[in-house]
Amino acid sequence: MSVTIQSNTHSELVFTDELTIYTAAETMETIRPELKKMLPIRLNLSEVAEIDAAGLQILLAIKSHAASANQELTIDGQSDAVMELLALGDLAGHFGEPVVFSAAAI
Amino acid sequence: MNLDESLQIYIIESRDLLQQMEEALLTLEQSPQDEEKINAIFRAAHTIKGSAGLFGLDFIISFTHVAESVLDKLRNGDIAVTEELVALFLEVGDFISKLIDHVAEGTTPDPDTQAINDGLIRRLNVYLDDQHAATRATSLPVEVELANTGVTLESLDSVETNCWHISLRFGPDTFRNGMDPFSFVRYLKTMGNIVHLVTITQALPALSEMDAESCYLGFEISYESDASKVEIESTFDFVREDCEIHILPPHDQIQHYIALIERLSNEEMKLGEILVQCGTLTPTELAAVLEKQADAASDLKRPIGQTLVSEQLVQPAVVNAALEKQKQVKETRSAESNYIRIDANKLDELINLVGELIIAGASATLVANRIGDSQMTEATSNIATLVEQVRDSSLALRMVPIGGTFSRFNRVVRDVSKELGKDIRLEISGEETELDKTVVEKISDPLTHLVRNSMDHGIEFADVRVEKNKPSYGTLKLNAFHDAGSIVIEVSDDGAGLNRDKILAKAIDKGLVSPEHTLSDKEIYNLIFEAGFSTADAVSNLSGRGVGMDVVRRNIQALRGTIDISSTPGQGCTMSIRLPLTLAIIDGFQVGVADASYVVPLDMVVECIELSTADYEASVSNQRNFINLRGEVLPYLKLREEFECKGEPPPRQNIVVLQYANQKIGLVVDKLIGEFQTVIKPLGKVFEHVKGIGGFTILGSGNVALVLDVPRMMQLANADGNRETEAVVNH
Repeated sequence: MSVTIQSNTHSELVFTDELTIYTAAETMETIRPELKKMLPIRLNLSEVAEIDAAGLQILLAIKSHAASANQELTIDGQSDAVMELLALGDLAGHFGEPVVFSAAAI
Repeated sequence: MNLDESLQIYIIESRDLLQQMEEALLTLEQSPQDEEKINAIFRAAHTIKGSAGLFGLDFIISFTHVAESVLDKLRNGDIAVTEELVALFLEVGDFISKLIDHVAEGTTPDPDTQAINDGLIRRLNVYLDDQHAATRATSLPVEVELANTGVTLESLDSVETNCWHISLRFGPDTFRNGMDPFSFVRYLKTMGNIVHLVTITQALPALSEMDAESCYLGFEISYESDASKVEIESTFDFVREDCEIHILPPHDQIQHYIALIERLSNEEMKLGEILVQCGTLTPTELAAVLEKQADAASDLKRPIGQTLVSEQLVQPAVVNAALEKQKQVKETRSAESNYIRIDANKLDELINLVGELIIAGASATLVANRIGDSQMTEATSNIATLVEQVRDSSLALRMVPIGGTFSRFNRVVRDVSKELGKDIRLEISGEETELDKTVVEKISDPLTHLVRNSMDHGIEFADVRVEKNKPSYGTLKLNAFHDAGSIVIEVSDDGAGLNRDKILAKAIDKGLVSPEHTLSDKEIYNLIFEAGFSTADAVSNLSGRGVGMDVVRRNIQALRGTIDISSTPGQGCTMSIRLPLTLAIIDGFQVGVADASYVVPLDMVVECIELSTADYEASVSNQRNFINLRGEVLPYLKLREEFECKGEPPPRQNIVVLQYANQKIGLVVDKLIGEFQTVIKPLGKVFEHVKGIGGFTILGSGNVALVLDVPRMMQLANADGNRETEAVVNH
């Protein structure tokens, strides 16, 4: 589930528990109106217990939305599950986090 | 077809296969890595054994079986090609040939043959028992040329050379079907090592349009694994339906696939089949591509090879190899199926009939000309043209390339050079030159003798050669080409050449020439053709007994040919054999002397000129039988005198200038009648010794014309000339 913290300067999205196919549709509905505001975005992923490809798609969609709105996207923390999935898909760099993983860890 | 006929065919085909086997073995000796030759040898033995089974030829089956087992090991790389293995198999081939002889004669092997059989089997078994180390190099020289397809090299840069390249685009319903793309990635990791992975996100739409439950992801993966393509493919069994999956085998597998392709049997297969058989394409992939092809609009249809490469299912180099294999199989098959076996007698009958047709056509033309009806003349003229074409076609049926005979000499040269302890190499050129079948058969023996002579007497031992600044190996050349209606066969060596003085001395010794005679070099060399002549100090098994060269010359003359020697001391010797292209039908030029007609081969006619009265009178008074032809001395024969025709010559006579083998001669005749084609019929035995006549023919008018044997006439003219010179000198 995601929680948005209201603010006028930026959109803060905190994702918790499952970010998977099961929660994907609902999550999208929740965050859409917030993202429409076109504010800088902060993502908190440190409490994501489970994430799959559907969840990853949502993250990717947020990123590309930020890029097209010319807004900054910052990620505050990643849970282990998120880090593992990003490493698997070689997307650690995509999200701007300087993650140090050697190829052998993949 | 009854059993007898099939057995005859088996015998002929087996001999062909043994010939192929021998040639392949000789090539293999020089290039031991040639996989194609190894396969060819295996196939030859395999076919002989298999067909022997049909006829119950047990002794062939049991022997060939052992040979085949050893060849199988060779094919699989369990044993390596060595010189002694090749030598053993050359013996094996000879022995199988002997067994085939038994079949042909209807005899069973005698104790001697049995002994050889056992000896060879013992030697073959050594290779089967021993675990000869597989020292065959595994790297094949592969020339990888990328086909010019839509796939650019840059896009393949992402492929690490040892990795599979797996390209995945998941369909929108992947999530709804309960699949997670990443689970496949995790599964692949259990089967191998993911060297590099890129997540493809381009398909992801904008946030407003995105459906959270649809999948828009893809992967490009470089994957290291020992799994087979089918195994990797099966990973994606559950998503195959709506996902795009391309699995491209690694670069270094290319050699492996290509080797497998070349090993495939020689049945005709479609390109897709070949690729599936070698493992670079899975049956599922092939089915999918074929379905796509079937659906494509006809103007968009592309060759399947291109599709496979652009879909990144197969490496371009492997497609190339498969295409090569297809082509090679097709060529072998079409070469095999384009020949028909026919009875040589039927062919002779056909040519006889064609000959009669020519004569009948000629008389029809004569009648037409006499009647003077223009339509009739045109009709017979058309017939004459067609008859000429039929003549050419049927004569061509009897022509075979000389290459078959030449290549048999590879074995001869190899064996003889080993026997003599000399290093001699054979160079062949002009193998495509064609000549009449009967001539090919009869020329084989004389050629063998000349080759042996060159090797025995001509080419020096290695140390002597090196002293003379020659390469230590000797070169023997066989060459053939057409020249003015004849075929010329040359046997040359770069040996010591003929020893002029030695020959002269021996000739004087034998009383063939008297010491005061001055002979030209050429005349001295020609002495070796005299019976009983040999300058060899030691008589060897091969030559030197003095029964060779005169038989050679006689055989060649029997074919209406000539043999010529050209030699340079210290550098080498060349024997030129010149034979008429055809024995049966010629283009002739008809001349008249007195009431009779004579025919000379049109190919030899250079020009016709008038014999001036002044020259004629000179010839009568001075016995000077030559004229000045534009600065050249042209000797001539007066046919009227040669054939002792009655009556006086007409006031104006003509000279027909003939050329044969760089010699020119003139024939003085009364009339020049014209060109026409004719069948040469041989003179009966009664006239065998008449010199200068090669046969006769029947003219359209029904009269007989004699066909002149120009080369012989030239020889006679020369002999005459020598006698005349002598007469002049001695007076």
